[in-house]
Amino acid sequence: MMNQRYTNEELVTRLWDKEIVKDLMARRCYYKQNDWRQRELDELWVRKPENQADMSLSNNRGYFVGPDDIKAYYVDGIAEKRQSQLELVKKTNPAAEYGNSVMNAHTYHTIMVELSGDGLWARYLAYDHGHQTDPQEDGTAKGYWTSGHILADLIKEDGVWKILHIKQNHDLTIPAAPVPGAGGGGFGGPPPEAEGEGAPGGPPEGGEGPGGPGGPPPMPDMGPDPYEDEYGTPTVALPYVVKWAWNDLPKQMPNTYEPHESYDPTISYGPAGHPDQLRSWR
Amino acid sequence: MANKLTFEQRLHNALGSQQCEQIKSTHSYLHGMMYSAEEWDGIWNRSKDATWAHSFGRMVGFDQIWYDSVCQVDPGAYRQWLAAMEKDPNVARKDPRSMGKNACHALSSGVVEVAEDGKSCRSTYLTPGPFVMGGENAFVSGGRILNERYGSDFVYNNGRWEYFHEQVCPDGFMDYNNGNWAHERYEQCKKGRYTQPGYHNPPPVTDPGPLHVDYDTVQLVQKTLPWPEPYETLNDENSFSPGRNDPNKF
Repeated sequence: MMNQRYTNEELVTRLWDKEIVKDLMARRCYYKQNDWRQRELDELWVRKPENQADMSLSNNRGYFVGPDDIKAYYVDGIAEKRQSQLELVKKTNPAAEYGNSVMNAHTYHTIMVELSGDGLWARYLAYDHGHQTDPQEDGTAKGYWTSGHILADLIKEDGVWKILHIKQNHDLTIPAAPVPGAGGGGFGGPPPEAEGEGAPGGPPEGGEGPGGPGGPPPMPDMGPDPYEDEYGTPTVALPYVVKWAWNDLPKQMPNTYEPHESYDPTISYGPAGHPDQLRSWR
Repeated sequence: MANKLTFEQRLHNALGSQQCEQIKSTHSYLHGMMYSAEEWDGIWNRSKDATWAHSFGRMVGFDQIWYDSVCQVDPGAYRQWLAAMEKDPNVARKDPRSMGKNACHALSSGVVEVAEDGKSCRSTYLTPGPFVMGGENAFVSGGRILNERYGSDFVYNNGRWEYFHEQVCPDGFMDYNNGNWAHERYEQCKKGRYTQPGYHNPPPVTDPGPLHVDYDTVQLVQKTLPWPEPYETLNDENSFSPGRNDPNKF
């Protein structure tokens, strides 16, 4: 039954490496929730200069490459935002402290991990569902549900798994309050009229099979994402375009059965691996 | 029970548990991209005992699953893509399926058991509900909450793990921030309108449902999918599709 390529000891290592990768990425959720952003970069990401030159963190606008650009966006940029949020909160609560009224919780789940044949590179994919809360000037707060998927490359540095690339594809920010005028039964509109043949040609809820009791109702246009202002100016402006939904994901999913043999930047989750749609016919 | 196994057998089962988790996740993303053909072609067992069940009933045999889930579903994706192209010619260079309805079935709370004989694996999962999908009006992503539970059987066949049985149990599909879905059900119940089992237009199935019913305020707890307990081998007592446990029945 056992794999012919690896010894039992190597198989145990491969088994455990995948669990360490899952654990490492799960830890990132807690670092992020605690706003331990610099600490995250110091403790979870690659540390060797030759690897740091390639490290990247992306959002929907593009890739921040290298420790300096990542820090400017991910650490300093958010710290600046938190400071302005604190000043907002202090208007109604002078005793407020840094971080009051802010919540930033993301959870990673539905995980895939592809461990390369040589055991030195892991490709990671997970859904990222969470919620964020921003304080408002009147002392209240505004809450959002967030939804997206996250892709990551991890490599071994001196036998320890470290994050090399993270690609945060943000799909949706849903206000936790009705959206004025957003009809159609998506969110904020009236309940769906769910009796019918379903969306034209579409599967029922969840896409399971044809037919179904009405299928998904039309979704209202939510307008600009409220977190777009935070995206900053990336080092490499290669976007993830929400408009095209998961158009890029088929080219990026980790493999289920046959892993790649060794690290390949052209299929990585760094800028060199960006799935340019035009590449297929160039 | 596991203490009886050799180190190699335990290692095989541990690798199997991890691989079946991966297959389950693979299904989630392929389904979300509407890559139905790739899902059933890539990770599923193709025997007559492969089954796929939903509240409306159970599809039996790979051919019926393929017809219902690929042949009947793909045209909808392409129609949506064509409709979107009418609004924006850039759609012509986009993937007709994965830019469409992205049904994000998040998975959590997995219970996974590999049989003592190492030839099958069983799991139950819950979905916490966040659900993303593109609207049929195109270019607009939306999110709702879909509460479901999943029971899955996998088999170790010809040197690899394959998806063998799936049973999907939807408990409710509701808005994030519109109204109070439970109270709405209560108001409907007061009018005598209880949640009805079944689907309006279900696909062809061999075993008709209902196998599960969406939430209602007067409903008792449905124990449709008992989680797997440690077990020796895939059989009628340890299967989400009793009577159909031969992965090589062609």
